[in-house]
Amino acid sequence: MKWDSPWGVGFPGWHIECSVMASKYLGSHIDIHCGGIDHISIHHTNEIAQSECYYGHRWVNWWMHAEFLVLDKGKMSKSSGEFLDLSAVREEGFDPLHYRYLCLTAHYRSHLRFSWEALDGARRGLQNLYNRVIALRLTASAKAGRRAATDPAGERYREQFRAALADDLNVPVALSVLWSVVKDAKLDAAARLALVEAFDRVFGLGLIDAQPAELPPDAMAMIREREGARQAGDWAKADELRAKLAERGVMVKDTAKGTEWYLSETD
Amino acid sequence: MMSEVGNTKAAGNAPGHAVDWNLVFFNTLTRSKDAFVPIEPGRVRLYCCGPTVYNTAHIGNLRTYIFEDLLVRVLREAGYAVTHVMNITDVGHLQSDADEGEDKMVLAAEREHRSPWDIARGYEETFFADCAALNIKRPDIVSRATEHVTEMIAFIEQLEKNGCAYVIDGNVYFDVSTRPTTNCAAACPTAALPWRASRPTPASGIRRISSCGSRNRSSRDRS
Repeated sequence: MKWDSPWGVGFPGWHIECSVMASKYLGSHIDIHCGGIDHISIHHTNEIAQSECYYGHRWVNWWMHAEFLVLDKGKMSKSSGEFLDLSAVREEGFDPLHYRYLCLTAHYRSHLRFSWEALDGARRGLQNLYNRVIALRLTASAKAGRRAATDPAGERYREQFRAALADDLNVPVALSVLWSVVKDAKLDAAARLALVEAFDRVFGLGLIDAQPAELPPDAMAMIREREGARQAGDWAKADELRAKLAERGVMVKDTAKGTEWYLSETD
Repeated sequence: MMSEVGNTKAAGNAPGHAVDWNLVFFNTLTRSKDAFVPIEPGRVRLYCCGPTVYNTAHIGNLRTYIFEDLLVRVLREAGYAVTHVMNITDVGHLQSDADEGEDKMVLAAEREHRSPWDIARGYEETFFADCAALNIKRPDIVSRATEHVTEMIAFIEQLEKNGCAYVIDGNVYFDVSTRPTTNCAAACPTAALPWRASRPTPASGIRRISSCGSRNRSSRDRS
């Protein structure tokens, strides 16, 4: 990795790279420059120095920095040896989106304390949200969906959501608005679903395509057995199996396409 | 340079209705929450420091990319046309952020018995796979340092012409006595090497950087 230059063979420094590439694609005056908080004192200070000495005017208007993720032992860094990557998260049985959800629960300028217990809490929170969205999907009707756009309660939630994000990107508060929406039994399912879909354009949690958590071990066999009973016209047995599934937290719904199932809401 | 942005089609939605949200962001420059006003109405030019691709990103790094993804999504929801640029540092990031020690890419290549190019492309791929798994949207423009060396050389030449850089033994040093017009951390710029010679740098050169930096630091008023 070396190049000819007027000063001999060599390679560029890290700070100059960002100065040059940012300006190449964004021009000599940039709105926002982001990075980790550890870049403030050296990397970004040098970027500013070099770029402003080059242009002779202010280079970036807004600098925004994300705080550290901290372990109980302190800041996570590769050099400290305390180094978890996404494959470590997967190896512990978590989905990357559980980690995304955990990040949404802290403001970007606050330390986020990481532990496996905290990640497990995020997993349960996100799955609970998925279950509620799946339940809403099953009850929402298309007609109600058209009404949702003008629902005043829905508009109030949208306003709260915007206000939270407009206040220095307060995602944890915006997330609490989402929770209020899914729990608001007075708002009809389609209206709630429309809000979930709109809010998730920011959260990026895949809520609309939410899939249920894994079924309890014997539930799929019972769902199939129940389908068989229905086809045979054995309604008593089908009802009995529906009740047994419900005891295990599995709700079933018979549709033209076959049996749909979801896990009941949990708090 | 500016015209490239005006012509880019990468910037998602049309600008023009971004006034309702009244966005307020904390600005490290001013250390306060300020009403966000873009340079050009309806448009946001955003640059985010990308990964140094010598290893997988740790989840602390990924937190920063999730934050930036949320910022971009909010700006777009608010109606701004955002041009989001992120770099890939595939050369030049030394062991110390203050431009001392060896290139992290070269050290990784020695560690893994692969070429620095294999290291860089391999970990870049892993990085974007991680981002995809986290629902982090790919920036509109991803720029690799190694593909912009010509522009970097031209930039450094201009710094020399502006009297902000000097050369010793094939290394170009940024003159830390030069005052930038704004300042991120109220700290003076530390010693930086815009260009580093490939041949082994003499020990005297390295000492020179340190003494240069500390001399200038001590001569400044610092609270």
